[in-house]
Amino acid sequence: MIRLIALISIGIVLSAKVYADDLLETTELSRRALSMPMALLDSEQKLGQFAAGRSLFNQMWVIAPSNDADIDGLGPLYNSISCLACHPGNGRGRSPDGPTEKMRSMLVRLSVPGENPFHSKPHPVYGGQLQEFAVPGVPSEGRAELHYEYSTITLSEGETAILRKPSIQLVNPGYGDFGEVLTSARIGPALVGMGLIDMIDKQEIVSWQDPNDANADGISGRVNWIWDDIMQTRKIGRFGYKANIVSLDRQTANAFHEDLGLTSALFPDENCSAIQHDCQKAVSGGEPELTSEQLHAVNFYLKFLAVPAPRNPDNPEVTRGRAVFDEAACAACHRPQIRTQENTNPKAFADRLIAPYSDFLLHDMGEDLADNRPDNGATGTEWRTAPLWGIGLAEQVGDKVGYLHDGRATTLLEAILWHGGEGQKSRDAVINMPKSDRDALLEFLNSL
Amino acid sequence: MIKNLLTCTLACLLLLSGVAKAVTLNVMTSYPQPVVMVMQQAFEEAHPDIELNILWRRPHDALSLLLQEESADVDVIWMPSVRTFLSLKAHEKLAQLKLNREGLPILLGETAISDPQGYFIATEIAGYGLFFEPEKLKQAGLVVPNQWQDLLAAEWQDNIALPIPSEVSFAHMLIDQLLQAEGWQTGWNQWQQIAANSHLMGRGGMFTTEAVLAGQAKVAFTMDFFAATSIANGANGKFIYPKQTAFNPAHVGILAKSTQPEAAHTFVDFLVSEQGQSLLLHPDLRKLPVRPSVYSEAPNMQNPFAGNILHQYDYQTGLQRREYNAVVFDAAITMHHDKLKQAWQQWHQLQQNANADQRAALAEIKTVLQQWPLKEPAMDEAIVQDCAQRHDDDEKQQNCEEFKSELAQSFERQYDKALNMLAQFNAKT
Repeated sequence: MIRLIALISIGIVLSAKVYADDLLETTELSRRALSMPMALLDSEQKLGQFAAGRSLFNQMWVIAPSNDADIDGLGPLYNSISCLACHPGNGRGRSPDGPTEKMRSMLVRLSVPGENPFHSKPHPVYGGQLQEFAVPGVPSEGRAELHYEYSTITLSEGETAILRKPSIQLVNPGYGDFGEVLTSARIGPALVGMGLIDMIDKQEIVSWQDPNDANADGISGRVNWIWDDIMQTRKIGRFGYKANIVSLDRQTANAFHEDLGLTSALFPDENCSAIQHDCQKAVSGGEPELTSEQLHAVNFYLKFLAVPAPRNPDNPEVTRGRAVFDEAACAACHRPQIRTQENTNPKAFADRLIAPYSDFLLHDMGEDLADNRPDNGATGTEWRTAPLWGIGLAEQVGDKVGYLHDGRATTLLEAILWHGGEGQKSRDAVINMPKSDRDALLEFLNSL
Repeated sequence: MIKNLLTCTLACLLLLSGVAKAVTLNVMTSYPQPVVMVMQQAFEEAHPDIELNILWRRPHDALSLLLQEESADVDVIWMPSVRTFLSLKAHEKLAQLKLNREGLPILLGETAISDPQGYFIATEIAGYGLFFEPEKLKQAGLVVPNQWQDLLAAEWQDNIALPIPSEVSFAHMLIDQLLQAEGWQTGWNQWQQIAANSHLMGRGGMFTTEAVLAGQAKVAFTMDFFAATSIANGANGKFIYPKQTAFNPAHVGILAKSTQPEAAHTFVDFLVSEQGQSLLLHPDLRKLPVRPSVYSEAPNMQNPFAGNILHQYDYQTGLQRREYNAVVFDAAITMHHDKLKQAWQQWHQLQQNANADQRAALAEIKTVLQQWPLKEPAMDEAIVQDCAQRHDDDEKQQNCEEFKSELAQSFERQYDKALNMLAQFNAKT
């Protein structure tokens, strides 16, 4: 009964336009579809601020010392020279297709096994992330190779899909044997609606959780509560594949720190472990390397990136696909609507129904998708429901993209077929439904 | 069957893994991520035995680093900066390239784009021109310009996006190509008048092309690839080269002390090969190939080697006075832009309905507005040198700043005088 009410309410919302106006959306369909400013930025000054943030987002950072102190400080250890490398066109990254190919828009998280199912400690030598590059004079940490095991799934009308399951092999260790280590590969996610996600009403997220599956629908979902050292309070994790980052500014500063090796007020220490002595002695690009103004500028840019407006919502195939999406219970986690809080900055973000298609909760997605690496409140089988807005434009903005946290899926259908655990029923429904329904479902996803 | 094939593929890949550790080639560049990404990925796929380690620096920083005795371990330098390559060659930091140059012209028009002695070679070129949205131009009753001078006219008031050379590096050559084509004073007078019709665009803000797309200007001074990538990515715009323009080549060279000369040559060969040149047509790059045969793959791209666009530019002159020009531009234009705009706007307005006597008076005011207090400098003039080295030497910086300050005051007095004359003219009529 509860499920029925939920589906009806979802259906009502889906049939209505989610936004009151298009201040936050873009109808751009080109390769820049995920890079447009919100129409809300209506002055030269605000557009200038947006462009300044973009300039830093696109910036190729420089190894210190340099004559350009404003952009130096890359490393000592790093994965990439720019933000754009992992988020081409602000879209998704991809995984290498085999062990000889480099990770160009992907990285590997590290930790050591422990007893706690929700938390694991960073590797004592290599830290929480494998950085494949280093400044001159500092050994890089090594390289991660991706190996695949392939399997074939047969769908209802005899069509087949080939799935590839990655395994990670760490090679060329720069600081001694990796020993027993937990790994988790992550592609750069699309950067859609991050400012709005930051403003979602926390009660909305909390009200959707059902940690003990009280309604017995097979779907639980729980908030990942994160302790915020600065505010000395518990906050909802909204960002990251494991929902373990509480805000946009934290997410940005964390990525600058871990991926590019740039310190900021939020992460003032270089990303060297205690025994990485050369790393510790490397020349710094400033204290911090990324100024508060620069961090603010990048956050401004990310906050005001326009959300793609759904395409062809009245197309009969899309409408049918939307119904299939409901019937397969995809909407139980990929929640089509969620409300922002009443007080926001900017005010235009306040009290809006937005359509990220996520509940921002952690769900057990089964063994096949598990990384078996507890991560700051999330178990090795739990993942945050991935927002789907803009997902239909992924292949438009990137030359080649991947889906799911580690990019193992090369199509949306493959991504669905990897759903297990709480998503198993939906996945089975998709496998067993008539091909025409499956096509309609994909058409709907491509319209987002 | 599929399963077997996949198993084999996997096994083969596993065998390949770790078989040969790739040579690491250190490449210093100032190219943005999309260019690096496209080229690096294609190169490493074509040559899995060579891994590129990208060291990013702005050109002046790269040059300063590479001129140091104990400079970084760099094998290849690859960037759009003629000055950097000329200087590295002069300091004997580059090795002579051993390349098959067939199909790669050294000259564009009468100007050499690659080093005739083979120390560096052009990898792409980019030309200056104008970007606009044809429909919006039509709606505003504006005719598509076909030469820079068309933008002097009153109807272009507030309709142009013009980059400031001291803040936007590509604008140095843009400014100087007009000075070289029109002569020193005429060229500067034309820039004053164009600037009076323009929004000046600085560092870190919108691109000039975006100012057009955002409706803040009707036409933008830009380089072809900014416009072409914008169009390739969905913008409804058009780009034209004016009758006379200039093209800026990018180059690649191998450092004399490279420890990987063979791998370095492989990379250089790749950049100028048919494959490497074709990659320039990627929608995020859209740079002009230096291998003319590649233009057959790009019917919408104008081929400057076909000789239809007039290109005459002395890179040495432009490079030696680029900083000096930037200082002059700021003193004459940026620092008093409001007054310059105001004066020219009033002048155009009054000129429209003026009778013969009034036109004579207005001609006098125009002369005041166009007084140009500077002769074309000799390249060895101290102030040109001081301004060129102002970022590296405090004393030279101070000299250049004093020059700029005095010049700015002189221009301000001149614009004030013109404004007073315009006010008096108004009072009389």
